[in-house]
Amino acid sequence: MATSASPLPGGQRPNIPSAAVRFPAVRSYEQVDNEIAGTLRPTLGWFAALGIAILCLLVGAATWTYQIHEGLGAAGYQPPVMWGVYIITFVFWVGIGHAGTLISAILYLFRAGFRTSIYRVSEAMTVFAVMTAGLFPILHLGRPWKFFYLIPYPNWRLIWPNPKSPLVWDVFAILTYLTISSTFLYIGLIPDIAILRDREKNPVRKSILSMLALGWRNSDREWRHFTRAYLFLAAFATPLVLSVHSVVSFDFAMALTPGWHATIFPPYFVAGAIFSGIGMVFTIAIPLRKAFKLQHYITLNDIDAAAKLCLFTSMVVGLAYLTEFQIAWVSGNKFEQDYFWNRVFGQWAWAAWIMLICNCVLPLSLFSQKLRRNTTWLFILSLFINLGMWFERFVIVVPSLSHEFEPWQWGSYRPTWVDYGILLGSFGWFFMWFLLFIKQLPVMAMMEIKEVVPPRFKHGHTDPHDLTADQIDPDQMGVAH
Amino acid sequence: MTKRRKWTAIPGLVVLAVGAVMLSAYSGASSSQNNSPVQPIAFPHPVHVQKLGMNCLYCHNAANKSMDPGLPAVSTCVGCHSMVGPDRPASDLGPARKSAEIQKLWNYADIKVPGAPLGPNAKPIPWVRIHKLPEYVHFPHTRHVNAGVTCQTCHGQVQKMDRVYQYASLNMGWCVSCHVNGYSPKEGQEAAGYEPQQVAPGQAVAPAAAAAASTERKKARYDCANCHY
Amino acid sequence: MSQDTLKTGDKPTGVKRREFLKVLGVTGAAVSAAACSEDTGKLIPYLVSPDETVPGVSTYYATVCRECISACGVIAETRDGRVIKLEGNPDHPMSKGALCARGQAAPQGLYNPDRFRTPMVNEGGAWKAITWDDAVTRLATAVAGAKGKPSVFLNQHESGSFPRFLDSWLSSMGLAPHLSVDAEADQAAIEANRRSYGVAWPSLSFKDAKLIVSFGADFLDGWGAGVSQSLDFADARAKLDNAPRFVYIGARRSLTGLNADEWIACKPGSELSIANALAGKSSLEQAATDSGVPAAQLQRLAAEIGANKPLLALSGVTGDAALETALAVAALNQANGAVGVTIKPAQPVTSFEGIASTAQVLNAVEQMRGGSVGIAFVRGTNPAYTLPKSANFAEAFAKVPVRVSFSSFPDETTELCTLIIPDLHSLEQWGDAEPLRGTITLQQPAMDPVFPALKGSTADALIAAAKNPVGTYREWLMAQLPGGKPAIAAALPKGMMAGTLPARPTAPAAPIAARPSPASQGDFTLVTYPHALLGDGRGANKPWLQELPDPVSKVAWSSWVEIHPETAQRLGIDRGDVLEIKTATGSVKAPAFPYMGIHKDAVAIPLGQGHHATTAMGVFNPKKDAGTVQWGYGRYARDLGVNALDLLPVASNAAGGLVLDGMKVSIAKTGEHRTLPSTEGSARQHGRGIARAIEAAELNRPEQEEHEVLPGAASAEFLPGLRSPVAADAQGELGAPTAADQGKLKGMYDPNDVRGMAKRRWAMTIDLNRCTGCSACVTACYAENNIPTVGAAWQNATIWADARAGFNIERGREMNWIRLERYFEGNPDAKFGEDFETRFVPMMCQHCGNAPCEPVCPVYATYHAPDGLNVQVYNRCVGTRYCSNNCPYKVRYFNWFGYGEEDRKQYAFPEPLNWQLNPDVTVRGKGVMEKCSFCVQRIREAENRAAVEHRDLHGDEFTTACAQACPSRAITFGDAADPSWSVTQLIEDRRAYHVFEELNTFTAVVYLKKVNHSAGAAAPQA
Repeated sequence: MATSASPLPGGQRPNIPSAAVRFPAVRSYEQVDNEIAGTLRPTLGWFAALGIAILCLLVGAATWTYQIHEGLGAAGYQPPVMWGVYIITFVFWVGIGHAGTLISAILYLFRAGFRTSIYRVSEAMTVFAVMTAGLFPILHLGRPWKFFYLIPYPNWRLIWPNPKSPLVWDVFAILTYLTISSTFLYIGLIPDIAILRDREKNPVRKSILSMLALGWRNSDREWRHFTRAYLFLAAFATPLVLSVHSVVSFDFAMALTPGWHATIFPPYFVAGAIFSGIGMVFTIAIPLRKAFKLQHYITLNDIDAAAKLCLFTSMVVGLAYLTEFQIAWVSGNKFEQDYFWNRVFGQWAWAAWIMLICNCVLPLSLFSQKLRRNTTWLFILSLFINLGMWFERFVIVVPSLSHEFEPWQWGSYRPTWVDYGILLGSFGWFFMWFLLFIKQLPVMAMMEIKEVVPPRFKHGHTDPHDLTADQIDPDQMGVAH
Repeated sequence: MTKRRKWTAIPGLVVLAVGAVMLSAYSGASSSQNNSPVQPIAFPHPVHVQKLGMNCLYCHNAANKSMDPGLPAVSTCVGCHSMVGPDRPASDLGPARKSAEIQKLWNYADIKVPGAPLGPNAKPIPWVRIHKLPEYVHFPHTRHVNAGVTCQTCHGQVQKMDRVYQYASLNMGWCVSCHVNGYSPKEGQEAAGYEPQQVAPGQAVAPAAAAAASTERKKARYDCANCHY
Repeated sequence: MSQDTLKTGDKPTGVKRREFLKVLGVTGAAVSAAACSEDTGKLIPYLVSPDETVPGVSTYYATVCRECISACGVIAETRDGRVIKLEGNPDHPMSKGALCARGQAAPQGLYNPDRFRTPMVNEGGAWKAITWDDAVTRLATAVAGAKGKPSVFLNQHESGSFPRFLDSWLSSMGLAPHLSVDAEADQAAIEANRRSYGVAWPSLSFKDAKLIVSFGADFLDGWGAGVSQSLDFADARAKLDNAPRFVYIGARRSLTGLNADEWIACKPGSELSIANALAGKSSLEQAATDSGVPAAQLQRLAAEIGANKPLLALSGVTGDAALETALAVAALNQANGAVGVTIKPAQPVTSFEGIASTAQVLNAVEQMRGGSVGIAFVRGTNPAYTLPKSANFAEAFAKVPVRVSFSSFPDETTELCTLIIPDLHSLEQWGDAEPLRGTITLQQPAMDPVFPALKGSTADALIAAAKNPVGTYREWLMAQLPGGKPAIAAALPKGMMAGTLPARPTAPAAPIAARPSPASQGDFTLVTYPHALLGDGRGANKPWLQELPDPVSKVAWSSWVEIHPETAQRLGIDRGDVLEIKTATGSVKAPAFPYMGIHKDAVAIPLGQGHHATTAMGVFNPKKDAGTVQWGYGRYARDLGVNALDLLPVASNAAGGLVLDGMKVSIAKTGEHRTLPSTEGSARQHGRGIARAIEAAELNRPEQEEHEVLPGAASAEFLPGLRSPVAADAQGELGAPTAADQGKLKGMYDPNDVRGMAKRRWAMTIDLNRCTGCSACVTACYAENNIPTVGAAWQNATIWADARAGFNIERGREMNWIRLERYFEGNPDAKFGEDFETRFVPMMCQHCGNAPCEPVCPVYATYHAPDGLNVQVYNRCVGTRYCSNNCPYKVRYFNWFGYGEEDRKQYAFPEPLNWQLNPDVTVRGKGVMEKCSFCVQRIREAENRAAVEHRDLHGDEFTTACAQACPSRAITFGDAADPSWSVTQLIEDRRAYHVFEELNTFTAVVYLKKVNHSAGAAAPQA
């Protein structure tokens, strides 16, 4: 990431999309500061939203308290279906997280220009999604107050967790992911925090901000270190996108349950995760863009690009589904075949078809550019994708368990209000954090945007904004070379 | 500058918190070791064991044949104490006096005059329990007693305690470490506070004494299902 | 536990023995209890320590089981003065060490929370507790008042001296002799036996039969002397290829029917003509038309009977023609050389002597209705429930001024009485029995009365009321028994003595005339039958028996209507649709259970459920109602299902037995739907080779070389022996350190293993050819391992829309560590013929050597012990339930609620039920996984004993609870790595196989294939 604002002759800079195309409506650094920092002023709508979120959270909290007191029986478990809504939702939220890291880290390494405007949002989303996901492994325990048995620490019992168990791997995966993604988010925020610090009048906030800004003074030296550190963290976070969800998928793949016991799970889960994540990015970014009037930052080009990514991952996921069936078919394994048949045409057809339609059919609409650039449709679609991905996990968890080796123990599953209450609570928890975030810290990386906004030129150059469309070099369109 | 000092505080606090958690967890802070409640009757183990030379098994008579060590029935106490009443004449146990504790025993046993049997309104003595393992731990006293483990190894030198207290932590780690490292009779003897038998050169050592003196460690199974089922 | 007990200061009278025991017990505490609480509670010593007990060590008393009339000899295991388990008495000729589910459940009668705790009197419609002495004086005055007037005494039939004592007392009081009632006994069969063999019940020998033909005689579901019959039947079947073939003739295929090789589904009531035809008295064609059975089939059967002598034919028909059928069948026996060989009148089962017929009871009821009766007594039996509603017992009973009950439970009849002097439980009182001629079985109290307010047994009360000089019943009894005190003292340890009791008074000969059931119309014929577990309803108040799924329908905590699937399809009835069954006399509503084993024109309803209180009572609420009397036969029985007797008219057969089937009924859908509380997932194996069977003919086929069997596919043909030795484990061959060791290593359980890790591999074999599916093992497991019952209506979450009994079972949350899977074979669901086969598989934790549950547990709560056990550590478990997800056998059970925690509404052992809890087994708290432990507590106990005696374990020194109880000896437990255990030989059996062997789980449980004797194979060997 270049940091100097000195233009090359001709006002064009290699490797960085021309501001003219990126943000035609953004003309100056002040504009960026004012507009983006301006979004931090709380509004009535925001308070309302926060209120609702906290209400949902309280409902979830109350439900959980009840469940702890009563026992897990309060939830809808029907043996042999020993895992239900909680594990489904756990995987769902971990998945959500992934798009964030993908956009902020991988796309950064690939110099994909369209990430600039949306990566902060998705990164915040990642952190809060992982925070939400992290609750569920504890939530679904029979004795949550003993959760620390899963943490390896020297104790007077002289025993340790079982390194063979995927659930222990989960603990590490989640904690690592949480640490890295929050660090990454924070580091990226430092320059912006510094800006806020300098603009802040209120002494208390100012002192807090200055504490968080780590004494950032915008010097060249700091920028050099900053960019190195950021690059390093990006490189560090990238493998996590693959590893974390692979580990999560091991929860299933390591078991011999028909429908779980498959080597395809890690890639399949990662693709699904990214797919669902992008879905969630749309769900969040599109209303945000409208509410904060940031259409000229999160441009249709960016959304279009993201939609292409969404389409691609959707097709990968679809392929994975087909592969699963194909494996079962050629395996000659009776258990597998029975299970998959039961999944699509039996007991659980309704769930499987919700999944297939939401995840594989509807996204195909994104082949049309018109729809890719139609935010309303994208928003609706994103809701379907979230639903579909939740049901994907449902289809993985529940039908497999309900239709295992022992026919005598075949069963069914129906969640109760307790499950739904806690599910609701998890959304409340996630959006509470997110809403708090967007009013405390900028939802868009001011400094990165400034990089692509041409500085005000000292002596009379042609202002790129005056260029007419035909003067724009098509090579500079969209993403970098 | 001041800014710098402000933010260095954060990681410091985190480190402290983590350290504290680790420490408390590792030290087994939850154990009720050294717990020494007041008993309804201040039963003097030293007098009975050391002065009168009674064996542990006289009162705790099931310790060598059952999971439970057994607790002396009131009738067992009364066996002696219906004669040995509150009015204690001068003896090697002390000057003539009135023993409030034996009086308490008589009240429980509903005995008025020396030599009387258990009275009609006799009530059992509600001893306060000291050594208690959780219900999911099955500790067979018989296995340990018959393996020659001295009572004092786990209970401390009760014969010297005026008021019994919990000697060992009874933590799982405490059990396991003995099962893993093994029990040496010699150390057991020392723990019990017995003097090693003096043997004149050339004189044959009694096999029992030899066994008691052996330093070879007896190890035991230590997988969970040994005690937890 | 201890502190809790002291807190409940409900016992003002100091702390006595029993409380001390409770204090000492390690039971009742939940694993979730804080590991190291400072509050360690109190230790309460004995006042005077009983000489025969060592705290923490079991004492055993030989006594008699009184749960049914056969009176098996049992051994009561008592720990610190509390009975904690019943086992069969190995020396007793009836039980031979086995015990049925009902016997196992006896302690739940003893400790039943709804047992009367004091005598009670009804004054002006209000019940009030009184002292025992007060009650006795009231009894005395009442009796004195009734002198001279006619009287009725209905006593639960029991073998032994008590009936004689009772009659002598009654006559001394100037009252009429008692009626010995048993609603379960097959009076037609008894009468027929008397006429044909001269005894009420000859002992049967299935072993000596070449062919067994049963006309609706359900000798495995409680007909006759249950345990001894199923032991003998299993031994007969265990003869493999030359075992007797078993043909069952009847309208409904009962548990016994499911064990038959062939079922001849005849029209209800047509058994008579079949029996006559087979006896040659009438033509087979005639029989064929009467019964709707193809003549060819009867032809073949007739030929088979001719070819296979001796025959053993039994009749258990309960229709109008019951006696006639029974006599015809007896004739068939006599004609085919059965008498003396398979039917032994020389060794009569004397328990069945002296049962009063239902006709006599009905006469007594009419007498009461007449209003002349001055006083009526009832003890143990419950006529208000066991007589059809149309008999109007209550109305007649009310005409008697003084109504005294000696029953222990608040049942329908007791509720109508004026004075209740509860009897002691049989485990609390002296008595005797003579189940087999010449074997007197002694009944001695195994513990002090649970409720001190009950000072004595009924007999003691009678004696006290009579100011009888005898003193106690015990002394009277001692005087009766041959040999007097010394002989008795010598006999008590074994619980038996040789000799015979004086012949019991035969019930007054009342004129028995058959009352044929009135003409009735409807498109279906009703079949009602005593529930295999609840019997005539007396078992309904025991949660173990309610929770135990019916062996045939697998439904628990409910009634159901069996209807043929084809008929159901025709009428558009689905499983669980509530049907209304109507007759002229009444109607009941119950959910439908489509069942292939019932005749197309018949519907069947089990008896035993549908207990109701006349005083209004809501669903039991543990928080509020704990203290109050639970009329309607207690909290576990009340308002559960329906009583099919409401449908029946007052009709009795020529033997005076109640007519239970043959009524025409009409059925209608109510539109209501109720999910059946059933443990059945899929009744089909889907070719997964869980329950395997082979033809007897194939048994001796030479082996052919193995070939690969596709995963999940049941092995196509008979591959003898195991492909993975039991004494192998995950390390097995693979664990061989060097190439040289390859093949030498049998795994870490092999005593000669180079790594010398362990010397043991606890293992088990289950012979499916012996297993009859009776489910006794399940109840034994509940009793041994403190398994909670979860089906009661109040055992759901607090805030729940539809709390109803069996709700947790509907959700598959039953906790049966060992379960009986009942798979139907043949007859793909599309068409429903008679020729389907049933296979029962007892399924429990397989203790895999390579267990899928172990690696996935994040906290080592389940792991592999060096002696081969797959262990579950409750206090380490955090409840991720991953182990269960990964268990192919689905034998792990989760504590969804705090079933083991007092002061919770879900608590499964309300005081005093918790006195039965086994102190050696942790009571699990909520949120932990549990499963079969191979009775690890018994293993440890044996190891401790051996260690203290400085010896090694002997072969077959002990066994698990299920194996010990099994009334067909199907289960064998032992150390597969030590040849001195008999299990090691059984593992070598050619029929041996592992379930899901292809998953490489290296299970420790080996099943032996069932052996079928199909009609073709067994066709006349001529």
